[in-house]
Amino acid sequence: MSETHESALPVHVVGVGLWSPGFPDAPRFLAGEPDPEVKKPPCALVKSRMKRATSVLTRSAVEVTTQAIEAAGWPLDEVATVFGSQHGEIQIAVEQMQMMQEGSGVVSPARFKNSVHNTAAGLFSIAATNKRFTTAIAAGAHTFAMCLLEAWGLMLAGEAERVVVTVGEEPLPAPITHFSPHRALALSFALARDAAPERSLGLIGRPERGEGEATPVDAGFEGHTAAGGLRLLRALHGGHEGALALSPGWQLPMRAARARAATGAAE
Amino acid sequence: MAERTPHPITAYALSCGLGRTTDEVFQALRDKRRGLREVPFEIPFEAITGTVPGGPLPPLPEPFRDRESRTARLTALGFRGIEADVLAAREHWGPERVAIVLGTSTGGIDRTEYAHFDWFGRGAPEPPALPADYDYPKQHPFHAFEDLVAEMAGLEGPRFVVSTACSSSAKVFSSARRLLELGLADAVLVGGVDGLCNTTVRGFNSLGVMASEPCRPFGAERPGMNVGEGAAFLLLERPGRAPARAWLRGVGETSDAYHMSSPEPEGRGALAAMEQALAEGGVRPEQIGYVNAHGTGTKYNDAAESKALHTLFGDGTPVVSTKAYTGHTLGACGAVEAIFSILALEEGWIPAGLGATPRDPEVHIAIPDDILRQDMRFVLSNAFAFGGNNASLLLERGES
Repeated sequence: MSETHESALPVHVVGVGLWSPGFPDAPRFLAGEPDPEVKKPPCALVKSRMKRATSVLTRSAVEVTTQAIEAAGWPLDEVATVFGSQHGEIQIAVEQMQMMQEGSGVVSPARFKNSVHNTAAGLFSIAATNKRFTTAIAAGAHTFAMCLLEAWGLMLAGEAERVVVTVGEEPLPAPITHFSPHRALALSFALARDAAPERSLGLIGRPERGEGEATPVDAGFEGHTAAGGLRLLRALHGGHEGALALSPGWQLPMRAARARAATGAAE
Repeated sequence: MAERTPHPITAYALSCGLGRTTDEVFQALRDKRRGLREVPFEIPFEAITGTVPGGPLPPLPEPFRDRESRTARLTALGFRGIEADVLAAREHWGPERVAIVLGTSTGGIDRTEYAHFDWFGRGAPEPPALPADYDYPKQHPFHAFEDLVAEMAGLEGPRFVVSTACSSSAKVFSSARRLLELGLADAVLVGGVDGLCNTTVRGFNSLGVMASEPCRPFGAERPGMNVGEGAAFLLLERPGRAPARAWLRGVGETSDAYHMSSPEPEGRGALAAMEQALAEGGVRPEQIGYVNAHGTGTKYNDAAESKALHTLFGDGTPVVSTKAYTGHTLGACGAVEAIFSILALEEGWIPAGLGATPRDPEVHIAIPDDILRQDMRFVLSNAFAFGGNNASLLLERGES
């Protein structure tokens, strides 16, 4: 591996987080052993009072963000965060539309304040007392790629040393479910410019144009907003090296720590 | 903190409650006319909104009819004013080198309101019988209106939407700056669009902050806020193609870490965002000629922001909330008010602080009652949001 190639992979992945019905975390997901008891994201970081009237999307996003930061061994208040979702708080949005047609036609203030796209970003910042940069992004099928691009930009421009990227979706409710029958899933990656060798799960570069390798995505999550992220998760776990397909037309150069160890490349 | 490289803003355009074109909007601001009027749909309570004047918004051009939404129509209307500049930038830099980063809080949610209202109570066959002209993927999601811009302008650079509620289209400036500084684009079309919809009008009413009369930011007799709508676009690019109408000198972005819908009462997060923006530009508070406040006209926002402003500027620097004219354009307000700030720099005047007299006795900042003429080199423009999400823009007078 040349130094040039190595410097094109300037960002370490140092922690991951995952939640989906049946899967409380990334190891259980990678093992492919669903637990039927896992139905709601625990989101233990957030007090019950604050969790009330929040969506599965928000609670799962905060849950996996916390998992990724804790896996990285970082304080919760010393990271910048980038949250992404294609559909956002769609369950609350449609629930409010129903309220508009019932009774007095007014909506719930508790639901409304948790209906914005940055609800997870806000809730995490409050629960973690994190006053740093946070954002919430949407870019259709390219949402995960653009979140990584924003995180890469924050780090390379010197605005943040550590960034957590979290993407998630919850199912579309009736009457629009059929437009995208995706499942609930939230996925998080803790990224840093520097990491101790034993902490690094692998290196990634800048999301770039290209049709990278479309390695298989777990059954039921093909076409999911987080599909590129699941591909990265499997690649890190499986010792992959190369350019991974993130979304149509966007790819991510990466090398898993296990691949780096196998080739003897320098850190 | 190291100073950041200044980036030229070479063009801008907007539509909002004050007018359909940039000229109309600016003239209304000069005339001290408010753009607050009837809500363009039925609601079960009294309210006025910053509705774009002149009746129904023009339909989308023929090839884009299937992208229908109020936000999409507003997008097309506002984009007309900057189209020639964007096409010139595309010609100069190449379509793949012009990125788009836009802010919105709702995207095309009004289309799902329309479909849901039509469907609700009529039973639920599978798939549900929804209006034939409703197309969720092309109309509702956040990226839909941005795809419309990309197609109208023929732009192929990276694009994404920032949706952090009312700070969305202030934060797009820092995203764009990163794309420029890291060589991923030579020009970035930034901005924000939010069309009026039931979700926001009824939502803010549920919080008990909606007014049925014009808002009075920082005034003792404030009745609450008015939701507004707007589409505002600005072109950031590498130097050389076109003269800078203004320079982006700093962006401050912080989190309150306090409450989902109320600002931290002492305004600490807002203060930190303004300080960060100033530090990025290497500019001292006394060099700021004008602050375009977030100034929603609600008690808690006005109190927190005015404390932060007083800490930084005392009662000397003029502060105005232009939401008294436009209403709160939500995801568009960062870009709308950045354009008002640039107008102040270009023409050397500060809008009148409508409705701020008599002043809230807790507010200790300088708000001009009438238009104030003065030359300025720097302005700050604030945008704060649900989730305690704060952004502050530092802008410098350009070359024109």
